[in-house]
Amino acid sequence: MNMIRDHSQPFVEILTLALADEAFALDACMVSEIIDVVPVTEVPNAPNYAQGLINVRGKVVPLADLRVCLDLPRLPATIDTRLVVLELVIDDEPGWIGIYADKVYEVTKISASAIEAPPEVGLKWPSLFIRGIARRGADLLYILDLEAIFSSIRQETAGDFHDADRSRAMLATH
Amino acid sequence: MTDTAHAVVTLAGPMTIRQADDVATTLMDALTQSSAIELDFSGVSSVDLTFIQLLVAAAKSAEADGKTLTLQAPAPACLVQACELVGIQPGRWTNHLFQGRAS
Amino acid sequence: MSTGPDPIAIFRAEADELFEQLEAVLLDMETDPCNDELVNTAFRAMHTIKGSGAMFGFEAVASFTHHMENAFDLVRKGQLPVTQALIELALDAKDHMRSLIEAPDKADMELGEAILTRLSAIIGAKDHTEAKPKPPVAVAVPLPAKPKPAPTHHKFRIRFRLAQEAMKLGTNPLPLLAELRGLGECAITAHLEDVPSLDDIDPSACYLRWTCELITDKPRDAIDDVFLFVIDDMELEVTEAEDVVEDVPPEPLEPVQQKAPQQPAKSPSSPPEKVERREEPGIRVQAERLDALIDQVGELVIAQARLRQFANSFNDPHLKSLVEEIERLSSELRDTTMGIRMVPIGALFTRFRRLVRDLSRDLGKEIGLTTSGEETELDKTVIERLHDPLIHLIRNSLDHGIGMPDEREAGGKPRQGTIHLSASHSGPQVLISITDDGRGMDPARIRAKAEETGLIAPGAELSNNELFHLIFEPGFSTASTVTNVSGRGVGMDVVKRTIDSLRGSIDIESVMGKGTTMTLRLPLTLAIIDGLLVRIGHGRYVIPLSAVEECVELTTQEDCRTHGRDFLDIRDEVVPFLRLKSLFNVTGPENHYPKVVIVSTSQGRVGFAVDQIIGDHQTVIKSLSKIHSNVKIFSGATILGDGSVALILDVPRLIDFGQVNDNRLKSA
Repeated sequence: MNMIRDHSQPFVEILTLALADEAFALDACMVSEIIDVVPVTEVPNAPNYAQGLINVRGKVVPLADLRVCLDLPRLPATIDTRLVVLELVIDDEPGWIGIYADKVYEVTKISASAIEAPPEVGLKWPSLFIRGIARRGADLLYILDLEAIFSSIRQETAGDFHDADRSRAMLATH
Repeated sequence: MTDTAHAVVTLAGPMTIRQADDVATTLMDALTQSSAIELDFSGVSSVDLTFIQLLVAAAKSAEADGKTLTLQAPAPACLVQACELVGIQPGRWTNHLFQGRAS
Repeated sequence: MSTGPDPIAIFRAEADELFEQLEAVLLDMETDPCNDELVNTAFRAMHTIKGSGAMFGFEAVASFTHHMENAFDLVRKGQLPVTQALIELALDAKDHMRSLIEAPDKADMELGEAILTRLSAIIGAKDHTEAKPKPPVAVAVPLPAKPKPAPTHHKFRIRFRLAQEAMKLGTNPLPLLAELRGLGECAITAHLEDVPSLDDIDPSACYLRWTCELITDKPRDAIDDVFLFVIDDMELEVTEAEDVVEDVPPEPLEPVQQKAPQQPAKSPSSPPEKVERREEPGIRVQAERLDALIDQVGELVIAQARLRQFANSFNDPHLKSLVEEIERLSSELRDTTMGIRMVPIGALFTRFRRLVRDLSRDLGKEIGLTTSGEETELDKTVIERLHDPLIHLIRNSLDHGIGMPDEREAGGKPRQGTIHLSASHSGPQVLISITDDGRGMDPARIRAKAEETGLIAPGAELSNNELFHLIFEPGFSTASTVTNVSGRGVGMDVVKRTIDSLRGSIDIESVMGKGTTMTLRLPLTLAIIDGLLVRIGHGRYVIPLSAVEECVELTTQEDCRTHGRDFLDIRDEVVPFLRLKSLFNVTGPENHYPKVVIVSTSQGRVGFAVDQIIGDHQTVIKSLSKIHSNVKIFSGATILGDGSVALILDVPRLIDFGQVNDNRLKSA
């Protein structure tokens, strides 16, 4: 899990992107492709962080919105909006998932020594969501732990659909 | 790839279906790299049909590429017996199996 | 050079098949102890397990099986009678062999020892009991057993070739050749033409072909006996050259000198007897490769649908006929591919014979299992997943359905109860029924139990059929005494869940005192279904066509008349319906003439109100990601002709969901 802070490797490759107006990074090795916005099929009664499905080369891929997970404003799509398709293990099952990015910057190598562990307190987000913080000049770059984010948010919203009140509550947040 | 004119393939131990893949690779490498291959089976302790088939196949490949395949040391007893049991007779693709035999 | 699949995995799969065969044969022997074919089959299965086991390093299996094989060899020779004790022992031995192969480290060695001790007791006892005399047996080739002729010499010309994969499956040709030579004076010539060159060879395949001249005092059957265990897959041609050759001068054995003729002359007196036993020629394919093929065909079907949609926008007859051609081909390809996955259900049925036999003995009941429709084919995945639900249903019948022999006799029934397993096709579905002639289900008892456990409100109005279905609710069990077979209330709800997940349904018919029939309705395949494409709001959805009964219009008049209470009057039948648009909480253009799709479920007819019915759609099912595992009202998704994704409705779950919401609204 901590490969990204593995100091035996001098550099790590990351993809930098924007969610709302914050800059984030992902471990580039999990990125499968970056595509333009395609038609999204809405999944009724789905948790609000993953309400859609997209077709990526014949695969049906769920589309997640990290801005919901990270409590960021959901800006309307612009000419810069992209979908990043990732290969990821969720609940011990490898699969694909797409995420919205308000802008994708670049794939870049950063020195492993430039990555610091997230502080336990003082973050806007639970520290387990963040794999590390990279300093790039004056800017701070948050490297996200997507597996931790999805598994934690899934547990939060887990509930049988028989639990109608809960389903309704979920729908009400649309 | 270096092409040497002459190569010696020495095999020892049991030469059965478990080793067949390795034997095939070894013979293949020798045949691609050299034009005259000598086989030394004096250390071979047991053989089964796969080994005999591979030697026939090697002879066929060598013939097709105009290369030669000869047995250096006398064939081990186990190979002689297996050939007899299987009904292998001296011929186009089997002569190398009979070299070095008494008689 | 090809690297094949893991040989040990192949061995395990082969052994599994042999074990199943062995078990079936042993069970058949119970009713037909004098059948030599059965004994031979059992012997061959054991011999093959022993041989391959040793080959692949399962020495414990080989040495254990060796003893069993010896015992069955005695049976074959008529020196040991087939007794109940022997069959019992062989069944236990089979279980032990299986555990030795599946988990060699965990196998109970003491158990194996105990089995062998019992075995020696049986073999030792045979001298004291009067062994049933058995005629000598002609093995492998179903020829009538002939009395042995006086020892005269025969000259045979033999041509043979082993199956290419024979060595991979554990056959070593050298001992076979030695055995053949042992029959008499024998000149064997190997033919090498078929050995490929080194770059094309599969090192462990068998390429040689042999001809052989044999002078022997043994009968022809002896030659078949040499090849006993490989005869099914080999080519063997035996010609008797001259009837009798007496007093052949002994020649030194120098096979290399003797040249056998390439083409044996056909003697008119005895035509060559071609032994070909290729009832099921086949190859093993790794499941992943098959899955990949299914996926690719699925994608082809999708691409084809897009092509058709695209071609329709041109008015080009050439393009059209080309598209039609491709459509025909891809639909045939789809059918063929689906056919590959289809396997007969018989093998699954066979596995239950042992279960019924052992359990009825444990319960002190007399129960016979009969089966029909074994040849009915079903998707392999479906068959695998049916194993557990069927076990639960059969156990349920054994335990609760069929009573004790005395009780049955008192009720005017034969002491022996019967469970009948049957399978048949019904359109795009397969029906699997479990019928017993037992007590039948008692609606009053089920009601009492359901009220007691709070599953239903006291006095709730439920039809018998609705009451019967309560047994599939979690935590329901009517068995007053809990046995170790069933009755803990776990299992039946698992049955329902598994059948639901296979997109199937369960029907129950039961008459008190007569018996119960549970019928599973299952789709033929899991990968592709025919669906009805509908629009709800902006979204398009697929309803499995197998569930759809009819489509009706929801007139404004009708809508008003019901005052928003969601019932339809169809030919004087009141049918509840769900408004999917509000259930899904989606928006989109209103249709002034919404439609209602009526589906049939185990709980009766239910309607789904939709905005528009688009038409039939052949659907390749893609499962949903774990991210959406909480959204249970959809069984999967599919890709439409225009490349967009449509969700597939899970009809039973959607109805449950609608009812929960309805109750919530009513109680609010």
